[in-house]
Amino acid sequence: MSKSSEEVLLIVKNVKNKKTDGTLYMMGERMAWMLESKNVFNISYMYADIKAQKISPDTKEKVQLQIILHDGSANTFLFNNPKSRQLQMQDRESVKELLQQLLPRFKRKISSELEDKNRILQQDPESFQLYKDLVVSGVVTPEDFWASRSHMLTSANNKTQPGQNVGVSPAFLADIKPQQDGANGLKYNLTADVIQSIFKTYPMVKKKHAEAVPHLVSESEFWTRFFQSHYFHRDRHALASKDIFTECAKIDEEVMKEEITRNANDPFIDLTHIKDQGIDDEYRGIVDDTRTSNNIANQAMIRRFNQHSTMVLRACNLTESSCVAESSCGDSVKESPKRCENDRKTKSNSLSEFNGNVSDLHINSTNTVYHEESIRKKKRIKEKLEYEDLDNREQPEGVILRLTHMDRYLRGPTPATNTTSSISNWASSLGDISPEDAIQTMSQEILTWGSCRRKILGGSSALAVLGELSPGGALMSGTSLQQLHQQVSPVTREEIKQTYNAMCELLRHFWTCFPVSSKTLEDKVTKMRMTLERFEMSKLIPLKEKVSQYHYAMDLTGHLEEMLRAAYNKFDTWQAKKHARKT
Amino acid sequence: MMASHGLKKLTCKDLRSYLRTLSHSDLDTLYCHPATCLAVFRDLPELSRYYVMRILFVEQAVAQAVVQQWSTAPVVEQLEAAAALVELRVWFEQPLPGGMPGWILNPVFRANFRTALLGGGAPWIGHKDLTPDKYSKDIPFLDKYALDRWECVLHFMVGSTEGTDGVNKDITDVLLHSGLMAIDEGEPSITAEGFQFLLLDTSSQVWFFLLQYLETVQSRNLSLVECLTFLFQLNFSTLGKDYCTEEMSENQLRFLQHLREFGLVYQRKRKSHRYYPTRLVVNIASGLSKTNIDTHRPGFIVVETNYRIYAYTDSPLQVALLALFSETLYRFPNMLVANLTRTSVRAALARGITAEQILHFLRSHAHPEMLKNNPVIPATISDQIKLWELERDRFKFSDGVMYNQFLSQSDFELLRNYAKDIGVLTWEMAEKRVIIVTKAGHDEVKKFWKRQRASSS
Amino acid sequence: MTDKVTSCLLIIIVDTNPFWWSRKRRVNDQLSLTHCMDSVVVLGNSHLMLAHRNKLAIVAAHTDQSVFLYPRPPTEKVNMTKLPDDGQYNDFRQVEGQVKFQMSQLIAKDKEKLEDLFEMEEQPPPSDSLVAGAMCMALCYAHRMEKDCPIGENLSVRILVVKGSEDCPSQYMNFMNAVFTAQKQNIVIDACILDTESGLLQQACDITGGLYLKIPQPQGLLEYLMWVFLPDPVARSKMALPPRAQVDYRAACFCHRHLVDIGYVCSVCLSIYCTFSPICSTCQTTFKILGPQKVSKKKKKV
Repeated sequence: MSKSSEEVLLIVKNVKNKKTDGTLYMMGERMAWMLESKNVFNISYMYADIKAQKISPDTKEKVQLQIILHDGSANTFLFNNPKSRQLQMQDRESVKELLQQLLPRFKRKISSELEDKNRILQQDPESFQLYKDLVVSGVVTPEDFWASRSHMLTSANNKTQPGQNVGVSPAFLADIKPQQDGANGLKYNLTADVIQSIFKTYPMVKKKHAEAVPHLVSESEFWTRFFQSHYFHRDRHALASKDIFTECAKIDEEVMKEEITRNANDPFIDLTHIKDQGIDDEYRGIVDDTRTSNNIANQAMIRRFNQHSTMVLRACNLTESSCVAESSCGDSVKESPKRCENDRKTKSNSLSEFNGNVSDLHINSTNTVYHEESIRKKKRIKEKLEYEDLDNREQPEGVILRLTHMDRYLRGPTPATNTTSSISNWASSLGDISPEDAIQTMSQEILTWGSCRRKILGGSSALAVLGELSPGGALMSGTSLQQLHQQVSPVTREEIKQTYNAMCELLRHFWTCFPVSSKTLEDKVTKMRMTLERFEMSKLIPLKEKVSQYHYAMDLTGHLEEMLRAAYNKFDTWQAKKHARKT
Repeated sequence: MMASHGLKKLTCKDLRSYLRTLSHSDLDTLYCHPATCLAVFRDLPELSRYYVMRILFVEQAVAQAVVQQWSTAPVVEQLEAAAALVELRVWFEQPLPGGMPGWILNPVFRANFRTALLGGGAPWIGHKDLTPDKYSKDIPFLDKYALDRWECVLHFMVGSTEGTDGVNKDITDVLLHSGLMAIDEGEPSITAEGFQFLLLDTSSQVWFFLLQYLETVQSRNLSLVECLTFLFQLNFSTLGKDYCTEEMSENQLRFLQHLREFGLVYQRKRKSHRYYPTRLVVNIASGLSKTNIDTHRPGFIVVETNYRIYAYTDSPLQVALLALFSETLYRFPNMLVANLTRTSVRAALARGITAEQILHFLRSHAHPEMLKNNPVIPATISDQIKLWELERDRFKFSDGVMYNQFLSQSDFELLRNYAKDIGVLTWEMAEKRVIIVTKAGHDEVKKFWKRQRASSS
Repeated sequence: MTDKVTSCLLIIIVDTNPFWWSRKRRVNDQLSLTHCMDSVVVLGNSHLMLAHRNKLAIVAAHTDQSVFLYPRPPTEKVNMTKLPDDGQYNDFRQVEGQVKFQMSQLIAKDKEKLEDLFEMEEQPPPSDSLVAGAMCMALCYAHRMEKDCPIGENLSVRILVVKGSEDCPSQYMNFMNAVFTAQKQNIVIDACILDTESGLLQQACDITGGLYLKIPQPQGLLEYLMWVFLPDPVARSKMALPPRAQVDYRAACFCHRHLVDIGYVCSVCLSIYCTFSPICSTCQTTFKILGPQKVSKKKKKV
């Protein structure tokens, strides 16, 4: 069951599972638990199967770790180091940490290759049939089979990992329900998902986390600080001066500004005109909204909400571009870290500071920005003013048709066969009759017209035509005739289809070898040729015999044979050429 | 409870169903004239017509199995087509030499039909070139004449005095015979059917009238076959052309005089040797017109979506007809404004006039401007009139027999299930053990019950 | 319930090419022009017989002109006094008489022209029939009839071409224009071919949804007409009729008149060529772009 060569990352002894003592092994791809005094794993979980882990709160007496699997089942391990509780905790922490690192790595691998293949075979009965026909019977190696289906695999992968990223819930922070810690504190349970969301939304925090966590502060300490920080409680005025998140806040402000300038650049939007009021206000006669409160806290809150939303929105199309954004952010941080830190006494201060900063930036690039702005503005105005359908479009002058071969043009794409050109073929079309003769004959006929009315259609010729036109008659062929798919029984039809499928697959392998550019291909083509011959013997010829028993009007296997012949021919020519080159 | 149940709806046969009532020998005699063959052919179902054309020149029987394969239409339609031909004796069964059943065209029909199409044979009655008529009449004159005559009949029906002096006993007889009028206090007066008749378009009126007339023909000592033959020939005559009365039999001459009274032909004097068929009789054999336009007079009615009717007419008859189902608002010398109201339409419905008849009247007399609309009658109006009709139609009566006083629940269930199985159960009430079965199913159920009781006892 | 009645107009175009017909006669074929005309007239009468609303027109496609054989031109005096001397329905007799009269006129005119020709010593008239011209006349007539159609009545039109002589390539453009006009007007074109298959009519029938039939036994012409072409397109769905043939839509190149699957088309005049040429030889347009590079010598197949 276990491979001895598997790398063991961690061994934790004294771990109870279902009240029995054992040892927990953390290995490269799975975690396993072995009963004491045995050397076989009783329990083994692939990391890929594990959905999440849970740990018991510190306040509880028992130190436990629960593994929740994708299929919903769970298992709990009790860390039971007899030496001390401290050690139990330590054991658990180490397991937890390791799992934390490992799980995300395997999450991606859920749709592992094998599973994919399995799925393809399950979903696609044709492929399954082919697999049975070719691979199981040993005609084609599985590698070859899958190699030709790599597009299916990748496309399947693309399907499972679509271009659309899962966004971040806007309420993800609010959703972290703090629990009363009994005493004065609040306790937040951070799951990996939440952390991921935070990182996604606030790249700065991720950066900080990367910078600080291993060496400066512990994981939990980091998050405690994060939540306590001014950054999180933005509207609080009290702050710890050496908060690691202060600069985050500043950078965020900057990003916000940028966002404003980026989005509010439509020359037709006048933000100052927009009032925050409903229709009812009008009725009450309040024209000016006097509520433009000077409550900075409120403003900040609103700003913060807006920013949060922006970040959340941005997080979802933040894929590769995120790294770029991050790095640029990082750069700007480095530029002015000191000043920011020093000046950061009150919130209002910092705001003004930033305003100044931003305007500075603007001035620096006034020229280019102004230029761009005007172009953009012009474009917008043009867009608004000009309507395409009101334009008096100038008709482009067409090419004048100068026909040199008028007759050719007029007669169009009619084939030359049995066409009689008006004059040249005059004689041949009329045989030996001269025009005057012809007219004479006709006028004679017209003169004697009128007597044969009753004999216009004889009963016998009418009957003959009736036979021709009744279903089954000469002119009706094809109407009452059964369609081919009605003639052939479904079983035979299915069999022929399968053979077709299998053979096409083989032929595809065969033809992919051309041009034969390497030794491996050479080997393969020879192999394929043999395979084809084998296939012909084992499948095609029996099928042909079987079909011939039913005496179908159509040659149902003819095309199959034709395809085979073509492949053999190709191979023979190739071989002949090869020999010629050698000699 | 429902007045309308006492009234019968005016039913009118088309040519085919009329001919069906004739005997085989009569039919064969009729087919001796090419005109009859043409008329019968035109009235056949579409598929039958193609069948006839296909075997017209085949002089022997054709296997039924083969004929069956000619059409890809639903089997019901094919059977109907074949049945129509059999009914009218256009073809009949004849076994093929091999014993297979086959169809062969009625030889009389074939010969005369081919004559009509290709020529040959004897000329039609009275088809003889005449010297130009010094009193020759043009088409507008004939149209006016015919309509005037016909209106006389209609006026007579509604009892208006206008120009009814031309109505003689023959017409009154037909009207009384058909039930369009009934003797009331010694004087003929219009019946409910009469009103329905008035609402038909002119060609349908003429056709209906002629059918009724033909029923009385034998009592007048006329030969039905001769009359029909002549009628069909008139049907295929050319409007505005004069025909000769020579060669016509005594019967036919008398028939001609009757037709003259109805306005179907024009004859200057009773003894005149020439007559002109009018528009009323040309193409009369197409029977009850499936068309919606009265080809005999221009339309004059405009119906608006607000239930208002404008009728550009000065004819008291038309005014009276409109008043049957609408409330007149204003009357002008050449025009009338009326309103369709629930009361007025219900009054008409109470007289036995159906919604379809009202709508047909409006449609067939629609003003040319209205005809440009599709549908001609605004949907709101047609729907509303139909709804008003349905309003009166909330009860459905069916005769039935009640079974009750079952002694046990099992007996009840047994009988109920049986009745349900054979599809005669109308109503059941399990609590009181009552079932009602249709009258037709009564015997069956009774027998079953008797059997049941006998076997159980 | 539809508020409109439909009447059906059948326009029959008959190929009356005297040269072709006399040749037929010379080889002693069973089919003669008069027989063909008789059959066509009977078909027309049968169409009239189906319903009294049905209408008919017959056009002759001659060598140098197309003429309405029926109905008579409105300018001509209506001649009603003559009644048939036998049992034929008067209307049918009118059709027959009119057609015969017009046909004899047509041939007589030909005779006159021929005599003129001798005096002038010119080349003889072209031997092909003006089917395209006749079709255009039919379309115009159909259009007029549709306009004249009383309110509340629908007119459905179809055209039947009875053709003996061979296709004339010089009519291609006109013919195709007529066909596409017919398609746009929902007019079905049927074709009854007496002798050589006609590629043009095959296409015409396929495009407009009509039937194309080359008859194997000319003496049974009337039965074919009755059987296949009497039912109108609506009724055809109910009848078992000959299957529609596959039409070869391949175009012939303008340079050699060979049928090609893939060719080069001039973007100005739409001429088709089997090989690339830098100058369109029909309209002299020069193409600056280079043709595709020549495929390196094809590998020989064993």
